[in-house]
Amino acid sequence: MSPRVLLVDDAQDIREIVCMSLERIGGWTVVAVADGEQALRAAARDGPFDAVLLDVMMPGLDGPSTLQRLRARGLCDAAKVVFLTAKVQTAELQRLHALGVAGVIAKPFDPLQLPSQLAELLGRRPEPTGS
Amino acid sequence: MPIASEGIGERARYRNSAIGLGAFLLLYVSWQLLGWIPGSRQNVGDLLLLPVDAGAALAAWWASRRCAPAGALRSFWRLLALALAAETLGDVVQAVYEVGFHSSPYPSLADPLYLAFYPLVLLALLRIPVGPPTRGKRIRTTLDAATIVVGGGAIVWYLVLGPTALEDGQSVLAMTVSLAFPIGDLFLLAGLAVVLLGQSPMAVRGPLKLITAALTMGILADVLYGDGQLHRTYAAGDFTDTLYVLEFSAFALAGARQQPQRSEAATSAADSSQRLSRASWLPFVSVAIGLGVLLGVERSSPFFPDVSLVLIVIVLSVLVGVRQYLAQRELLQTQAALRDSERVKDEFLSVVGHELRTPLTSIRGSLGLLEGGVLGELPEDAANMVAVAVLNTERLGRLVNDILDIERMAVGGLSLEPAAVDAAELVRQSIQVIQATADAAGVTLRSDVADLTVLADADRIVQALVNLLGNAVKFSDRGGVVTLTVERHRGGGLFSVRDRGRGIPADRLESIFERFRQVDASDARERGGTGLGLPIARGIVEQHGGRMWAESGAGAGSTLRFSLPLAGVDRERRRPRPAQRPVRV
Repeated sequence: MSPRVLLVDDAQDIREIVCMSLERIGGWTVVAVADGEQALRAAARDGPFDAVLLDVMMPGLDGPSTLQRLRARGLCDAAKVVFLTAKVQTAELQRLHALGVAGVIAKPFDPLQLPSQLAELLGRRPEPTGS
Repeated sequence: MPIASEGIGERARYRNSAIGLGAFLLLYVSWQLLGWIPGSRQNVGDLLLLPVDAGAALAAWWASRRCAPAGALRSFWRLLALALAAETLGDVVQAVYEVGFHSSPYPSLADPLYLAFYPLVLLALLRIPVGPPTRGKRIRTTLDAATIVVGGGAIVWYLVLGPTALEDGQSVLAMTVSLAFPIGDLFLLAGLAVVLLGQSPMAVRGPLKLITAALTMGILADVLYGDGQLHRTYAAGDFTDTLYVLEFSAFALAGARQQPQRSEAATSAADSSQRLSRASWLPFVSVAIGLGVLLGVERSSPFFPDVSLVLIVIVLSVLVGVRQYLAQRELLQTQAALRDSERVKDEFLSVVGHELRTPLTSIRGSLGLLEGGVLGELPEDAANMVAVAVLNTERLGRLVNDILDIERMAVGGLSLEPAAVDAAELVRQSIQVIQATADAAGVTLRSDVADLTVLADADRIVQALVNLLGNAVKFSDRGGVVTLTVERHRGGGLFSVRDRGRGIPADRLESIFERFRQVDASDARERGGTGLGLPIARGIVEQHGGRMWAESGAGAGSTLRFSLPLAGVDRERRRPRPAQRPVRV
């Protein structure tokens, strides 16, 4: 069974690119939502996920707040969390790492490398290309 | 008239005035010391004071005409000219008494004219604009002026006012007039303090120094004059009058010193960039002098009981203390505001970075999917075009990062977290990052690292090393070798990156560290750099307290070196924290 990822990002294009990359290259199953509230609902309805890929800067609930609520409701106990961020200052990255996540991926990223990069952060073997 | 020659003309006029006055003063003092023309002392003294006073009044009047019409400085000089004219008229009356009638009544008709000098000068001084009137500044200036007046007042009270007030057998009028002079001086002192402590316009700074000198001598002369009149020892043409001659000579020079003012606006524009007045030490000098006099001179004087001494010391201490407290508080507020503004700028740069990277992510992502054939194989031409687009998107991404780093350095520096790290670990991480680039360019990387621990922010030094290595790889030919060595040198760690490329001409060894300055302007495009790698690397090293420089013989390759401080010997040796910088893929 292919691993399942919950993707939370407010940018439509980035959701599309990540979906295409992870599904077509990595062979993952992706559920993509646009904000923190939807993420909470999706996690409750479609969970559990193997991984949560969280954008940091989002309107409404931002990445860290979404993570906090997911954890408070026990919705991501089984999932490893990886942040996606376009803020790449050392201090900002340290702040994110301090939240106890599996990793941080900087934007812009190479969609061809994203599946293996994510797999490495999650401690999985990269999946073979194609599903 | 060209501005330059106008300036020279001004200086020449001032120099000529100074030479003329100097010669006059030399003659005057010689006459006084040598006692030429016996019996002439009083008459000559009166007659010589007259032209000096008149000259000072004229100089002030001319100075007013060189200032902007209807400006504050013009009315300052006019009031000063009026004050000096009153003084001159007083001299005329006095000369008529002494030379014409051979009598010197005290007080006489000359004294109201002399006394008019004080309020007029005070009014003039208060016309000088003194910087932006913030509340804190007004309070501090007032406190400083009060300190100066209390300190100066203690001296004047002790030497003149006290003895005069307690003198028996004086007419009320004579006593009032005698007291009016030193009291007038105190007011002038306060006015002068306000002007000197504020930010007076640049145009009047030079004249103000001379006016300060003039008033200092005037106050000294007034004290001696009051004392002399009281004890019937004053005589026209003695040392007291010499001080008056010096005072009004300085006034005359001040008038000559006033530079022509083109417009009122030009004055205020120059003011906005000026530094704080250096006169802020004045209150302390006055306190020191005041206390010195009070403590040094006899204390058992009948008109100066010890109780008042104690009171004056307390008042002065409180004034200076409050003043210091206010200055300290303002300094802290300024520092806090500065930190705030740096934080705001840093936050702004962070948001700018985010906003620029977000569309880049979409572009890079779409192109990546196209390039990888995820959406179907592309025709060869299209694949080439997409590859070009991918390369340049990546370059744009690096440019965004580099420009933001450069801006951060300009704003307030990068926030560094130095720790003791092994040089070997820094080298390992750097080579790991650059290895793929070197392989693609057919360049071999070698390293030779001494066992030493430096005090560094690991992420940033790795960034600097990657920039240097990237630069060396870029300028190496296929099959070339880039060597990275770390050695101990003069109590620090010396990092050297050597390539065997075409080298850097001797006259460019410094300019390669300037922004967007590669040896050849076309290099930036051909070699794919941002033109900011070396300036950033140098900025990072300098912020660590190190130095970065280049050595080269053109054609024989080049070596870029930098030094870093070693971590303290007693420091616990630590592994660098795992790279928190995400791997950019």
